[in-house]
Amino acid sequence: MSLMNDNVNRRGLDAFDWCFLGVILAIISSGILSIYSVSNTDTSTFPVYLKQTTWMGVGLLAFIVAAGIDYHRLVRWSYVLYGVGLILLILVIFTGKSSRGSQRWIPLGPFMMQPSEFIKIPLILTLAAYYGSTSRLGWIKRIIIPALIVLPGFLLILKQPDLGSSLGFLSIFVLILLTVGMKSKAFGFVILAGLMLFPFAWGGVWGSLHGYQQDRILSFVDPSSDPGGKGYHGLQSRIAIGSGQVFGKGLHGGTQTQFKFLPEGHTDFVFAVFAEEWGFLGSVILLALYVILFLMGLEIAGKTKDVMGSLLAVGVVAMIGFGVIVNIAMTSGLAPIVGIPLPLMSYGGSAMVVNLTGLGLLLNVKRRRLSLI
Amino acid sequence: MNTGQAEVHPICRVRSGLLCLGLMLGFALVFCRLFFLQVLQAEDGARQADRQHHKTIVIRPDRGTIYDYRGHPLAMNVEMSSLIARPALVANPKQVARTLAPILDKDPGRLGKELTGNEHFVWVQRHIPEPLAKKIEALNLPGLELVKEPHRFYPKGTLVSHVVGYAGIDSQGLGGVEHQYEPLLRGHKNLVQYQRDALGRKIAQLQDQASDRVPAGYSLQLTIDEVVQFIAEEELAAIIKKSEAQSGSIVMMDPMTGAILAWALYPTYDPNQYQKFTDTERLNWILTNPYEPGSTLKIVAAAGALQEEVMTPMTLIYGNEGQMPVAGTIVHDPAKSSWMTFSEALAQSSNVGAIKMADALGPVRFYHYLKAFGFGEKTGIDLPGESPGSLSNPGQWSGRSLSSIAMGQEISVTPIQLVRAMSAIANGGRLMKPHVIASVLDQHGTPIQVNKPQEMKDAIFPDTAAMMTQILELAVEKGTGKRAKLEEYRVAGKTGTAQKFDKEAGSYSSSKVIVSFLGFAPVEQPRLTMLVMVDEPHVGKWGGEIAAPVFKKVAERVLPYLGVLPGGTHFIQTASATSRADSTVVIQ
Repeated sequence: MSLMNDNVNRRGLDAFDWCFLGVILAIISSGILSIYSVSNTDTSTFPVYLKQTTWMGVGLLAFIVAAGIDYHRLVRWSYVLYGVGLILLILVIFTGKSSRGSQRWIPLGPFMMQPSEFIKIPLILTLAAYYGSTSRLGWIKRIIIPALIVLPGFLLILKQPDLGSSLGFLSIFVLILLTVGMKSKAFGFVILAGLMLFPFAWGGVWGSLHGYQQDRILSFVDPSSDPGGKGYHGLQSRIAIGSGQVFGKGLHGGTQTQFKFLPEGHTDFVFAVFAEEWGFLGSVILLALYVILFLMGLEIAGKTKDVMGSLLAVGVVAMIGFGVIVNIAMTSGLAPIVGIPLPLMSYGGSAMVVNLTGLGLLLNVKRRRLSLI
Repeated sequence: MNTGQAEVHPICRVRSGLLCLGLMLGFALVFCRLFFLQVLQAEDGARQADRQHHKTIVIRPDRGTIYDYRGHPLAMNVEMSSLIARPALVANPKQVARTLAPILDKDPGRLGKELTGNEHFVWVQRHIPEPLAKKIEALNLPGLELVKEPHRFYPKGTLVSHVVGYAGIDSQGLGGVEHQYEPLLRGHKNLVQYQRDALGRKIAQLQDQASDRVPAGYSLQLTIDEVVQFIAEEELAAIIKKSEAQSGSIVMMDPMTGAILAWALYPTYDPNQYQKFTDTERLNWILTNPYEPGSTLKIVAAAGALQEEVMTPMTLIYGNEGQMPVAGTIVHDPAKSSWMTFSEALAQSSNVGAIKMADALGPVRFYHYLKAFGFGEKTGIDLPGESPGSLSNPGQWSGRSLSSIAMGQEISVTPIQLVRAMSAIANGGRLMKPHVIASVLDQHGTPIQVNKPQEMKDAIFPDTAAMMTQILELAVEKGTGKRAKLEEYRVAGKTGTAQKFDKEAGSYSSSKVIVSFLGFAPVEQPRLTMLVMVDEPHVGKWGGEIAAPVFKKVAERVLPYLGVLPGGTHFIQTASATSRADSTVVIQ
């Protein structure tokens, strides 16, 4: 441990780093643009797109900090941080502010903090620490114990209730577990493929249910998912995306989102706003940016010799990747609407800070792996 | 599986490769989905979006008003409250139904069902009288709402209702002028397209749509003066009552122009409550149901015989002592006479005389004059449902037909055809096109179209018309129409007593008759032609005794009103007479 503690790459940012940062900023900017587009009727002194810009600034600070402090040091505090996260989640139950039937936020002065977002980073650190410090052999050490670590967080988030976040939380664990390895490669692959296909498969099963059954299940699990009922969000979102056609309607041109047919255009459905205004072309470019980001993240994970760093990178990619795919799948009508924001694009301070912190950790891992070679 | 602290097990790399694969798979699927939505199905999405935010609304202008000749409204719009319900928002349907039922005079059970339906919106009751609307408003029931709607209102009720007609619940014209002039009254509908947001709020009008385009339908000015109409209706009702008849009618026309001056039917109906009357009661039957006119039609054979010079007014006709065999039956004359002049024959309404006139003409020429006077074809009056009557051509006539038609049987005509034919005699031989609309007015009351007198064809020469007028005046002076005689005006006319054909007996009934008087006045410069018709009177059975006095009563009230001086040659230039000449109206 001490060997690596000081092995920090003191050089400035290289081409990879700049590219990495560039992609991140491009994605965030698309998000802010879309939020600006739907909130142009917002005449308050501090409109929501400026808030998001501010959060981007805060997030970038967190990014720098997360990239700067050696992740090995951070990992040492992982259990403590995870514990703090759990306490915050418990606090939500007692002091949390509820909105639309679920209790997710802790008021923090003028801000609202969402602990279910913040606990993702300690989770990644904790899992990296657990699997990275010693080899965990046997199914109890490899699966059961980490599962027990994850379970309280998962249940606390599910209880809010917040199906989307709890699934995101779980996905981090499952993906890291798969990366660490279970008995059979084939089994792992099947699970992995299954997980990635999960939204689509669910869509199939889901589609075969009667409308009222879906409504019942969804409103049981997450009452805020579809307040208008009867698939209004999903339908409007599909219409918005489809009406964007190939080249889109341009900034402020999206009639579906501008005229408020699509609710929550700045949060969970920000992709629909983007897709309506910039069309298939814009959507493909955006998807490409995300793909580049993940490939870079996975390259970092793959090239890192340190298990801990590798798992850290995998965890961050899992966290953001799950969000992106499930969100777009849900927005475009492939998956049920479970209320997962689009990482880096949807409005939300907590998510923005957490995602940028995660990406900072990725860069952290990359910058320290070079010094080892 | 010996994963050291500082090494990365190869499995790890493989597995992050798998993670990569999984991610890419997810992205591929999302990509395909977007391709499907935005490229393959793009038109669909665009169309759905369009449908949502483009809303076209039809702005109906206010329906035009129908005025009488002097500008008094006969049909107009008033705003009335209608009660609508949004069942989803009605808190306690059963209780609400119980509260509302007595006010609206409805069955609570049925009302309750309406309030619990699946519809987004239901009409509970349309056009609620104001006091009841206020009561409902005071209840302040959630989910129920009063909306203002235009409602067609007929301030004069039954007056001239068969001409004005009636409009349905959505102010659509269903009868009379309301129906005939529907497109004008309704006006051009204005389509306004606008974009709306999810809450239905109007965002922007799409095109540069001129909003000042026809904000109201066109108004109509009738040729009928409500005062003249009132006189006709009053006298008609009186005679129906007096003679214990079934029904009757008075049609009055300006013989010079074809303008209808009165159009009275009994029984009548109230267009404000048109649903409460049967179709038969609402039917403008004097236009739709032709009848066998009887003696009034004798003027055709007479005019034809004079014009063709087969007879003169002084020609002597042998009256067969009141009996004449025709195709195996015997035609009777009420007044038995041996020799009479042509004039006397018509004045006394001799059947034998009429048959001999027609005989002298022969079928072809007689048929020609029937057509010349406009029988067997529509007059073209601007009211819906006109019947042409029935007149078969001479080729199809039986041995009896010529004689029958000469007496006004075996032919069916409408009252307006008779009035038009008589007007041709009054005006010097011209067959005018009858009309009930004097002018079409825009929303400012400016006439945009004025109905000018329209001559269809010349029925007879002016000198024939003059001879006929003389003879018909004789008929009033000394003949069957004596009771139509006015003290201060000269009248020409012809009585008619038509036996109704009894379908059960297969012959003409002697007890069931339609009596009539067809005439015009003043003779010197005719101002009105009038047909009075009474169907199945039980007290009295002759046109001269029942219908002629009605002509007199109506004419002696109407002629002074129209500004016709006693003697008839001079006119007082009153304001009303001037306005008639100028065809301008003051809309109140």
